[in-house]
Amino acid sequence: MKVLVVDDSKAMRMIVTRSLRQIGLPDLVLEEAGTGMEAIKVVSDFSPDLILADWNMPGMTGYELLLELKSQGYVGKYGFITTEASDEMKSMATQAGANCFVTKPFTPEILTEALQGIL
Amino acid sequence: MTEVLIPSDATIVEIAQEVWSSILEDAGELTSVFGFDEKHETAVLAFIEITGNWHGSVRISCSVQAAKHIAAGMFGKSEIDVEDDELSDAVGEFTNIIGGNIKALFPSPCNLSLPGVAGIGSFADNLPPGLEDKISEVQVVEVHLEWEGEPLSIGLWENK
Repeated sequence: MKVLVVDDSKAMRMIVTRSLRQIGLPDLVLEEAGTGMEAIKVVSDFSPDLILADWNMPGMTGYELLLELKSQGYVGKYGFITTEASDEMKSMATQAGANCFVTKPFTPEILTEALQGIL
Repeated sequence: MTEVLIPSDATIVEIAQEVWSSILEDAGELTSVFGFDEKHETAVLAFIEITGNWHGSVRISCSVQAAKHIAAGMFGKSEIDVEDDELSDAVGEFTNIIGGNIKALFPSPCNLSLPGVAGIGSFADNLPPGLEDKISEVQVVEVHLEWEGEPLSIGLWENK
């Protein structure tokens, strides 16, 4: 499974990738991006099955990234890992095509539960 | 008008301890203390702004050693190997998560800014870069915590 982790914090990308390895997804291949623009470039080359993105990032938010990728025909799964967890944001994300929403801080168990529903 | 309740000290401590233990490898215990000398030297200062139905900022200060512990725990490396940019990144993300969880306690809609990490000093002495325009904010909550004797304080400042 190819997973792209998008977060402007290198530390948080490290935590997410570490958690993904801990939960043991089969044939896991990871890529990272620090901005939405970088993520768009990675998607075209990497064709991820799943993107896990922060919401609140400088330049392009994770929500704007989702809209842009959908407009470009991205058909993989998309999840948010974010501190932004209001009902309004979850509703916006779902309507835009997001598949899961994980609130920071999270544990590998919480991430597993969120991903089990979509993979 | 939406009624806004300020989170209690106990709630802020609970959030800090949950974030601490969830995101740091070998986190150790973050304990609540009654207070400490805010003039501790070489403190790392970080902040994040909340706007909307509540307007103010969450400000975190800690010793350099505590900041290195946060970075080491997030990056999964030893404290001695932590680079300056990793320290800033990790403390900023720590502040982002604390701020996001505090924001969730206020009635929607509220927005969260990106975190800022300002150099060395004390909020009691001066306002760091990025907070100069927050001179009118009033502190409404302050909690003091310690990890192995190293201080970490979290303040909630309201724009009145």
